[in-house]
Amino acid sequence: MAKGLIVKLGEHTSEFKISRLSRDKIYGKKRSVVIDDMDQECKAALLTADGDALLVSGNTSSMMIDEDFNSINRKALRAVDPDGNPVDKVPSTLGVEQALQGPIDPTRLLEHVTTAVYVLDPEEMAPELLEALERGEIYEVPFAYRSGYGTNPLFILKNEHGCFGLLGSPTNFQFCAPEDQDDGNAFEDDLMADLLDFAELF
Amino acid sequence: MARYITLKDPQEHPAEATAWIPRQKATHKMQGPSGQAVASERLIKSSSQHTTRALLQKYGSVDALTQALIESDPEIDFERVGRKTGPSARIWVRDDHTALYAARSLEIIEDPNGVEIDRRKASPVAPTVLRERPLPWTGQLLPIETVVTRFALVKKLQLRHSSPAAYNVLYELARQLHETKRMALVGAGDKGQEPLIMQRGGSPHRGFLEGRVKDGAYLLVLHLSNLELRQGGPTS
Repeated sequence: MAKGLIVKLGEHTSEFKISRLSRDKIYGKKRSVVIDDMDQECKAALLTADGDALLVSGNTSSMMIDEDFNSINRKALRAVDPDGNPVDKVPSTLGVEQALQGPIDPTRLLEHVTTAVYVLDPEEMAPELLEALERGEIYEVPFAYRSGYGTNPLFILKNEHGCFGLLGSPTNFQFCAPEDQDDGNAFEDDLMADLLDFAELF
Repeated sequence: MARYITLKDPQEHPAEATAWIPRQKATHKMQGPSGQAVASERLIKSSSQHTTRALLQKYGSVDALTQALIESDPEIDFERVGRKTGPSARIWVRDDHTALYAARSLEIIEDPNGVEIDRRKASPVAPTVLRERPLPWTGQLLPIETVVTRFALVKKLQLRHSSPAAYNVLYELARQLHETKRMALVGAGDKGQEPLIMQRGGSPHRGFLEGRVKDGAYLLVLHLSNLELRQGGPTS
């Protein structure tokens, strides 16, 4: 059985089954296909810059290589922080009791971009937590779906449709003073276009 | 060049702002076992002339291909394997890997159960957010709690002034939103009822403007959402 989200508020523990919420599940989806003159579906491929190789699905592979072009096994890689100190791997938080922080101010949620939304299906809900969520309170818990090199905050809230967990990534926006007038050259168009390609969401 | 967004305040004063996206700071990087720098590279494993299908076509039968595999290594592209792909062009190919010189696009619409409900010629939507077309002030102010519990705010843009006059307008907007603890609904079109589409073919989003002020400085963020916090099918 898949591990769930276990949270603790005061002395009371609650457990939720979690499932990812996406646009497809609510609105359906629109996908684009390319067809030839016989109305047959075509596939994307890569043509190398010198025109020497046509690469179809399965013809390429991503590898980690060093400066001497040695292939490095991913299991042999180690993570370091910007100062070069080793970073320990953090296990998944699923199935492990996490202390809820909060209630938090809703503006804290605004300081994060929502990168994933989970529907929280309560298997065991402490009445204290249910009452707090129904009052509109929002809580926060460190979250890692699978093991990795850090956690992100999961904001837990409730509305008339149920309980949700919003995974956040900090925006790090800074206040803007009068002298911070933007010269308009901050980004290259291509970079901006990539980052604003909303069609790639979810 | 930056992306510009022009918006109007309640008094219909337009202000031109540049849009900034959040910058993620890398918390860690990966190293090799000896501490050497490593990078992810896309390498060629094979090419279209060496797929099972291409080899079957070349040798004519499974038996002939089997014999060739026993006698040599026709599945390996010795000239190219291990090469970096480098800069490459994306093209479209048919099933037989012949390139398409004139591609036509179709849009396939599926319902939440994955059932196809429509198939039509693709027609990329035009952007509704343009520098020369100011986004109107809708006057619809929503409590922050309402916005964050109803919508997933999946994209954010910080709006920064591009002139002293724009600073006055944007600061005042941020101050009003900060003091009322509300977010302004932002839409495109004459009345702000159209969705925000940033680029040709982009996805439509709802916009919510958040403002904060501190010591003469302001933070104005346009939060974008294309996902409601609910389950099940679409509402009417």
